[in-house]
Amino acid sequence: MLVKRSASAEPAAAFDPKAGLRDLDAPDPALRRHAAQALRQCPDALDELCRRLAVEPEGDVRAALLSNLIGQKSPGVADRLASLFDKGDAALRNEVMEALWAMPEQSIGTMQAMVASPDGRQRLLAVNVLSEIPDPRAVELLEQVLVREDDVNICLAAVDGLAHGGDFRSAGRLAAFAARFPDVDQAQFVVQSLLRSFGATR
Amino acid sequence: MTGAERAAALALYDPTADEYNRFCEFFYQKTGISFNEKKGYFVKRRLQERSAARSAASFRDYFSMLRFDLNGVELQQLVNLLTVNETYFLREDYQFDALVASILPEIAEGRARGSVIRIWSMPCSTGEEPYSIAIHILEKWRQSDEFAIEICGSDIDSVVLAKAREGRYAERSLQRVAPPLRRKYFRTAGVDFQICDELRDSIDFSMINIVDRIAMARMRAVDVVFCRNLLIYFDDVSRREAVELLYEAMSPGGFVCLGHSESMSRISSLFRPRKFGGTLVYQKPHRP
Repeated sequence: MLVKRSASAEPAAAFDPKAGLRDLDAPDPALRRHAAQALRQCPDALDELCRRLAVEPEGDVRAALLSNLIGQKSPGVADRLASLFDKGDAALRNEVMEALWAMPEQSIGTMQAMVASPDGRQRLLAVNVLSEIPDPRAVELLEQVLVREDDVNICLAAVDGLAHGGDFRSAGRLAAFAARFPDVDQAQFVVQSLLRSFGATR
Repeated sequence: MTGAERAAALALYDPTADEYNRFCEFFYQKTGISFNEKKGYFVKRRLQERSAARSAASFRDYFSMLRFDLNGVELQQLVNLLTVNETYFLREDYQFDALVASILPEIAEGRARGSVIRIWSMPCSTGEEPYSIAIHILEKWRQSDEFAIEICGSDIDSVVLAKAREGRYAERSLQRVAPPLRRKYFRTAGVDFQICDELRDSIDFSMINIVDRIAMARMRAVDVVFCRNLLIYFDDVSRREAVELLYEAMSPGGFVCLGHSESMSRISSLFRPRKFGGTLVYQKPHRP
């Protein structure tokens, strides 16, 4: 039997930001998710949202927290998100990476700092983020990795990212990378293959 | 005024590239809708028309009027002009078949007789989709009398909502409706067709922008959402936001039907794909 909904005119409940912050830690995941949704446009809540994101076990609550953060995208949000790389599991790392890809303009500064980190894991994550950012500044940072980075695996990740986007601007930097690691067969093979393909297409 | 004179008059309102970009950013902030370059001519033309209609001195003057229009009437006029509302009865009806053959029986399972099943058509445009859903359920779902079925239709465009509430359609809208169904659910009104009162009075139409969190909070416990060919107008960020808000509006175990060229998995992993026959729909998981 068809019935007409009578409640469509019911107003949305007034939102109390203090209650929203409290509900971020509620035992009921639906309440936590609702709080993450409702705290949009609340720049004062950014730290609390990131704190919760680091420990939140439910995927749909994390998705709401991340959407909120993406919606408030800024270099500060990108910094906060990048700081979570050390705090969660692989699922959170991947979600944070996707969020950084969703705010490429805002992420580049953070990634520039990360590729200079003394921590190789941080540098590798930065290369992975930069690999999916369609921006000449990201390409430049990845090419800098080829000539400066000491860890060959991180260099190979940068080559992979540059090749994936078809974004090499300098075959010379690629050759310089190969010259820095003459004993690493994989580096020699990848670079020779790419240089051959450049020769074929350019 | 000749066509050439009209074009020359409208050219006065041609926005500069910078003005146009600033308008697009403003419209995106208000509606979540972004325009690609291919739409540039269409959008500029509508902007020129509205600038002329408001007797603005220039596009800059019109844009200023638009931004400081506190009651939002002019923005609504633009929304109405810039959104596409082409639809007809029983469009992509394989999804309605899946609704009555598989989705509704699954929702009904374990639910008490007499309880509410809520279906939401968003965007509903001029109403063909929600009325088609109602007809399909009444005609093809045997359990329809055992539940209180609420069908809601929402759109961002106030003009199409008024037409949906009126329920009067041209022959072209009914091209896929068989004569027996026409006789049963419509009456002729001049050269047009008027939807019967029973259907018209049972569907709730409301104006909602899918990326407006406060408006979306009015919709809760929705069991099935038809959200077809809407998300294609949004950029990645708005699309993600819209899907988040849809998820929030739905009951656990509820279903989303997208347009045939759309894919939820490209937007979000919140929903699980389910296949009913040849129809792919997306389900909000039950919490463990």
